[in-house]
Amino acid sequence: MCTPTDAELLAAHREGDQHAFGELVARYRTRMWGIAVRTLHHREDAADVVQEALVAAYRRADSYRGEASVRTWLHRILVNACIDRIRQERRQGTVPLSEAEPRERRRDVAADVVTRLSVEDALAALPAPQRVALVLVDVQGWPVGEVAEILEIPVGTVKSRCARGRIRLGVLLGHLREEER
Amino acid sequence: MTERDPGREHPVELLADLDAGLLDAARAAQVRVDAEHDARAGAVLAALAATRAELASLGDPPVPAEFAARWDAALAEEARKSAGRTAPDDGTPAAPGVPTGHQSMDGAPSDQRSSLPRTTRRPEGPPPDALRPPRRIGRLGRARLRRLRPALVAAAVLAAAVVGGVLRAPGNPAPLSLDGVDLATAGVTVRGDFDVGDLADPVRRAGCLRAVTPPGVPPDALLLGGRDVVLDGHHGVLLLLAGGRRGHLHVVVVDPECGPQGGTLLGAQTIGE
Repeated sequence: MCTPTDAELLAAHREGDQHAFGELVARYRTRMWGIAVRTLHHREDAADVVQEALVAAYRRADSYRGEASVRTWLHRILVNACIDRIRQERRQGTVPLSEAEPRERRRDVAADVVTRLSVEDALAALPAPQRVALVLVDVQGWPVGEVAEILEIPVGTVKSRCARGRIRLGVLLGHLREEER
Repeated sequence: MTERDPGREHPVELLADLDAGLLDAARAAQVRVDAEHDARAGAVLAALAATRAELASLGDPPVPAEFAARWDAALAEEARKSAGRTAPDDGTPAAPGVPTGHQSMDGAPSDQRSSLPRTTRRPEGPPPDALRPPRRIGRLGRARLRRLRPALVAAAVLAAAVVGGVLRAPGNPAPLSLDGVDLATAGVTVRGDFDVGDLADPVRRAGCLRAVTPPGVPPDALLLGGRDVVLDGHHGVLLLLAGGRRGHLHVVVVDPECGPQGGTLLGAQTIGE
């Protein structure tokens, strides 16, 4: 028996198949959770955002036109929800760590050994645009072209954000020396 | 053939652009040649590669069961609405399980050991029927929690089954009798079922919770499920509310008229540590 494609599942859902959307969600929700929690660095916010995205996708299924893949369409909804949440936090005066300069590496003076941040903490220290790009390209392994579609920005902008983000992250993770910047 | 440009030390940003594929072919070739003879540039490129590798090693964390069940419940509600099922009759635009931007997801620290507050009297309207004092809540022992975990998993499966259309939630079920039923067990079994009448309205529900003050339950706690119940002979509405952190839930039973003007807390229990 052939496994239905994402597009076939979405079409079935639009036609009233009550199983189809659940099956589509099952394919992607772990990945969506991973993207949200690494982008927002807050579990409850990430859970909220995934829920918002799933409900929005359910409601907007009729608006899917097929220009992008269903995967891209679904993750665009998710990423936009993440970005909206970050902006909302900024408006409420909660300055996310990502908006500040990256934290300096903590140094063990006695041993002159740099205490590295965890990768998750280091990601959270990046400005949101760089963080989102790296989560999608380097963590999730998505092609740059598809990430550009999701974010609705040029491919060059995705690459540029990745390049700058990798520099900052490299310093925070101890791969790159501070003086190299 | 591209020749090395001796003495040129390329800035980190340029090397990062090379690493990211941003340079045109000719420029990229030149920088690569230069980097092959520059230990510092080589170290930078290696550092960028190590950074990418470390990011790639991050897997997707597993979805917490509580969140999966919450999402399933929200989608189940959407399915019910689109099929013309019983929905909140107060015109609330969002599904009860869908959080709004202002709704806090972090509950106040729970107080699991205090007794329940007294009934708050409404200033207007007839007073509620005379009721026995609300039952005292007690902290769940670890043994009880272990027995509860299968129920939590079962509730998640139940919610998922509703989304999948395998199991249809009843339209207007009769009130659930809680005689002999542990509140916590009853709470998790109503997950995804939002038959709570006027208490589906978040404003009404928040006003009710402020009035009856179940211990440790924030007024804007997210509703995960609920239904009509009968507890100790009294009609009420059971509300399953998010506790703000993984595995932490509140089960609250209030009278059906509960609102900002007052109400009666018939029972309350906190699930989880």
